[in-house]
Amino acid sequence: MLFNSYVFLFSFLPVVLLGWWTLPGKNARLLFLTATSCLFYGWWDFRFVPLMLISSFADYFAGARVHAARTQRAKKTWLVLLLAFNLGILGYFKYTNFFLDSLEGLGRQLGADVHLSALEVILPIGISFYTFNSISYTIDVYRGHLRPVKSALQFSAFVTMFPHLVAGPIVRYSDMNDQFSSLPPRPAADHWVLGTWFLVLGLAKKMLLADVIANNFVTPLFENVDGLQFVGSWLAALGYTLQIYFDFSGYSDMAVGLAFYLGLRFPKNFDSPYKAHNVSEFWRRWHMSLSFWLRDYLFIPLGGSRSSKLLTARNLAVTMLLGGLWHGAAWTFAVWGIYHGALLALHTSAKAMGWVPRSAALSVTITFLAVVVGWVFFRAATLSEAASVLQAMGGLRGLEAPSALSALLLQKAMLVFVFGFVAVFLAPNTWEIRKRRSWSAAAVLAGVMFVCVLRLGEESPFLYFQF
Amino acid sequence: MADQQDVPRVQARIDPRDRRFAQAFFGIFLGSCFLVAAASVVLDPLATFGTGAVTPVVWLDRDQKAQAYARLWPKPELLILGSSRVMKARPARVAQIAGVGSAFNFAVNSARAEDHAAILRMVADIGGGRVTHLLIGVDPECFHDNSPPDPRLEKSRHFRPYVDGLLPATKLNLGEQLLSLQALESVEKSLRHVVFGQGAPRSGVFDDLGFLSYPEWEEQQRRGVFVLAPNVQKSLHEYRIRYANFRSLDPKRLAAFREMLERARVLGAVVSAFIPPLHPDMVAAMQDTTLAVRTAETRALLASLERERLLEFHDFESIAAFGGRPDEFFDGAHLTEASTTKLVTKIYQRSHAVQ
Repeated sequence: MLFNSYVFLFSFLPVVLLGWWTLPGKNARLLFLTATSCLFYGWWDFRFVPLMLISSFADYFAGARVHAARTQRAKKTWLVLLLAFNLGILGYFKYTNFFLDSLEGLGRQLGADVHLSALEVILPIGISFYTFNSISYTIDVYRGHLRPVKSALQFSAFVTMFPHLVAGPIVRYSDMNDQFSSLPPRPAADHWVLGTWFLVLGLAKKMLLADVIANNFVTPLFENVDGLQFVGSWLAALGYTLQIYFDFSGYSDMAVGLAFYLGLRFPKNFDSPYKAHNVSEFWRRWHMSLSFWLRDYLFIPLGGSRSSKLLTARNLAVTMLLGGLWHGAAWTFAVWGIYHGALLALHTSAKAMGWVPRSAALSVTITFLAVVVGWVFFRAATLSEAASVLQAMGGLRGLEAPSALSALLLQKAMLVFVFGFVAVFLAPNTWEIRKRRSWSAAAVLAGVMFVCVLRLGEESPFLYFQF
Repeated sequence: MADQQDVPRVQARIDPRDRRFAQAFFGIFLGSCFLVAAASVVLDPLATFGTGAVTPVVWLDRDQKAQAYARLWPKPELLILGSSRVMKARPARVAQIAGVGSAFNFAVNSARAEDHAAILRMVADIGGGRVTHLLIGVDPECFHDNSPPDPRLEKSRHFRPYVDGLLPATKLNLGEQLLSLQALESVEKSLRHVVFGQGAPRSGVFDDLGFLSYPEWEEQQRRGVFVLAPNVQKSLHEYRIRYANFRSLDPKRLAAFREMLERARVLGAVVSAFIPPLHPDMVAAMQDTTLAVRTAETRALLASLERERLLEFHDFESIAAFGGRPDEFFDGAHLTEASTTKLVTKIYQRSHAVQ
């Protein structure tokens, strides 16, 4: 089920809110939330609901076993078993065919006639998210940062709750424990205010910005990669840079808003990432829940930046490579991850040597352009497609004829494109916007919501659903 | 993990402004939705609910043409199929050019492959014995992979017996019927016509043989005051939207098209197919869309169906190929009768030459 759909906004959400705020008792409410969240998930494909519940129960059980284990060795054993189980599921569904294709390709490169049949594996949506949610819980219990939750119902509600289930943010149990322990008994008016601001702005970012840019620039241009020249390739790359930000941050905003409607608080996931002065700051502002997860559960355990420059660079490369592959089972994602790992290592070295621009504007521009180049790999279907786009961006495929240029640039959607740029560089983000409670603010938000609803018929899933 | 705790705090005390905000937001939003939804049901501009207090803004062309065809006796030997882009093929003239006794223009607005298949099922059922020729204008959009079947086919009383297996299982798209841009625009158009008498709900009229007239445009042409350029721009806007999510030729629609051709073969009808041309300015302006790619794919498809002897494909790379001119259009996509006649003449000249 999509947030931007009639069935979600006019059927599912009202029913969920009515049940959530009228059912008596915490357990009834958590059971209701879990059940409706399973319905939300199963709307896509009900066959994968048991997998999600099994994964959730495995972490609940492992957390209890880890905490109860008497020796460090036993704790570690349970943790390793849990990781093997969760990563095994993720690996099977997400990476099996990638692994088989890569082996086949390698075999052919070496001259062997290798044929490995691809398996008919459907990738369950949200598996990357709910798996990481659950893993963080067990690791935190193992580290002693968290006591295991007693209620399996409470834990399953945490894993399955629909606002963050299929595309994040990756919420940690420590963020939700106190909230679930003391659920507000009735809705507070300012929950509705904050929730409405986040929900409407998120929906508008997705439908009025991301989708317009995608339909008018990104999709048609990337469908004709071989024909791209200088301006078209930059429009495609810059367009995707805007699209992925508005799409993903829009979803996160909606998730935060929906959580507020339930009386819950989610953490921030985007903090104006394109305003970053360097790539390290970019990763503290972009998909924050994932980058902090990778930092706490991968980068730091590998050694972080505590050892030599070479080892730090290695740790960055491994973390970002795995971070890239988390997004998708394709070499383009791996290259994107390695590219960002290299940028991070480069920034660390440059900073140590004092080679950083003094001008903030220059820093932001360089960082932004570096990120744009990375997005080309993220969006391209293959590495050769990415190379074609980058060649065109470098001017190696010439400049468009004047008639083609005017067709590209003189379209109404260019206004949205320009507005998008102004918004990402100059405007406050959703968290920074002053959430006025005036009658006029309510009217404007209602108008924006109404316009978005009129466009719901043009179904478009969120980009991060595919991860 | 302190940076994970960056969440806004909510207040414990209820501020009256918050309550007023929430009331204002939900009141205005839900009120607006209710108004549009109610108008969509009461006015029923798209003839969706059968409640229509006013003339529908949408043509119920499929039912109109089915009724007209059913009334004909004897049944025509030649059928013209396609979208609105072939509605200016005058049946009597086409019959004369093709050397047959009679023809009927069964083209329907926004025709998709399932429309052609349903039409031929009906024709086979009630008049198939007489059909010897099919002339079909194949728009690439006929095989659109992201455009649902036309609701006028789904709701058609006359085609109901003939759509089995052609339409997807009915999805509840009540939301789209009540609350969408199309619903709002249709309500607005309907209200303007009812209240102010502005804008005829339809811009064209069919005769008994399915031939289309554009009363307003043709009158302007007769008076020498017709201006083509703004109409081309309007078409460009519409076609950009159509092609924005047109990513490939849909396999189900290809199958429906093939079914139509197989049925034509069983009926013994010779099928002549062509891709209706667009105005050259439209084609040039849509270079950055998927139009060229989808057209090439459609061309390749028709060529391959010709090799299977399911049809004769008449490929006109440009309007000059059949003697057409850029000023022989009503807008970016719809040829005038004169240009359509030239195209049909060329088709049957080639066809007779081959024979």
